[in-house]
Amino acid sequence: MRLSAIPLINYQNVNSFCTANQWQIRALEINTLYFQLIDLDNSCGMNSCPMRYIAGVGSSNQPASMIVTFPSIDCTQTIRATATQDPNDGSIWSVTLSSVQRPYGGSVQFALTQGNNTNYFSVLNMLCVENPRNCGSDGGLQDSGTFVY
Amino acid sequence: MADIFKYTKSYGTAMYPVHALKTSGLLQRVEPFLTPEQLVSRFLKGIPLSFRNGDKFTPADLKDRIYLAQNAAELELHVNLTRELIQEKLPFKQEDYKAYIHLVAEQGPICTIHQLAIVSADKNTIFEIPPEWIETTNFTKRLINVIPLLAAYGVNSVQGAVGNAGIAFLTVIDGLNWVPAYWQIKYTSGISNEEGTVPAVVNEYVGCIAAIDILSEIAATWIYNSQSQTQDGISQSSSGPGPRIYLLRIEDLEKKKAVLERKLKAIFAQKFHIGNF
Repeated sequence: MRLSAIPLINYQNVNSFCTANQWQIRALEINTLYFQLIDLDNSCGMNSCPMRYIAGVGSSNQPASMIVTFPSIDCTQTIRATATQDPNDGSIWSVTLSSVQRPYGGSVQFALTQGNNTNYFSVLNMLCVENPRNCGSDGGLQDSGTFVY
Repeated sequence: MADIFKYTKSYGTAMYPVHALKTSGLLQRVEPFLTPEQLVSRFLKGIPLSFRNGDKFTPADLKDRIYLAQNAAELELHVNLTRELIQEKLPFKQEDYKAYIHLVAEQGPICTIHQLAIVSADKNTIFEIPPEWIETTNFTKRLINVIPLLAAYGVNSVQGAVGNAGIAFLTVIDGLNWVPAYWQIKYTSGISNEEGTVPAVVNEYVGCIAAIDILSEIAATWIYNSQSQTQDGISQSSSGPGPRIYLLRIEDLEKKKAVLERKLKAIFAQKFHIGNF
């Protein structure tokens, strides 16, 4: 089973949302990011669209939890957030980033734990982060006594 | 596993525009990675992204082509698009040593440095160059120099360690011209200090590569330049440029890509002019 995730935008409820290529967000704002789990090995229809995957089905898959990681080369900048499963559609999850959590654009990593098993996967170029406070350049890096990577 | 380094040293200015200490914000020069929507609006507007058999480029396909183009751009420009931590060993060269330890890193441009040391083949640190001596101004061109001339000239407290084993390593510099894998450097390399962003011109370069690949795939499937129909003595024919319509655009993009490549290499690498004077 190869799991993956599709970004959802304009999410109202489980019957009202759009799929997208990536999340486009602004840094330093409160952002709730929705995504739907899919099983790449399980396709349906003529266009080979992967089927959604509902986590936590069956007693052996309980409890189900998801950790979403927004990576960075700097360990202190990496964000790990616990996602919340939608009670009405177990394939839809969401993760909320506060205004002080500043993710960086690019790939997003997922770890889904069901019972004793954990599935890891990452989605390429899933997040695009605009920085409204950007001054026109990429800014400078300051020296520090110690640095953690 | 996280690595903790004793120090981080950078020049403190932007990676792009090079050496910018402060920018006005009136002109945006860096932006997030190219998106599929931007790829179409900037490079492929008005061009049908479909094949004769009905296949077409979906947004997911465009995203995949951008990902491939980003990797190709890294190879062609010889830069890291995202900031990465690198460790490598460079040879000792007598002439470079005399020129303030003129080291050129394998990857570039350099954002920060975390270690410059003489490390033995069994991975023991023999001597660590004090970070105060490391000159950082030419990091954008991968250049590391060691200039042991500080403001408090005469106070030569060296924080590095010279053990008994280090003596042999330090003395070889007197007798040898070249020692392989002598200097170990640990540094981060990337084209932008702000992760997830790249200079707008780099996005343009990536877009050119992706658009050329997409257009060449479509052009290869066009097999007709003209078509004609005849029925009961009445005929109609039409002719067009056929695949040439894509080839013209590909040629334009190739030219643009070549110019951008030349300019970007001039910014982020060293150019050598060799002549017979």
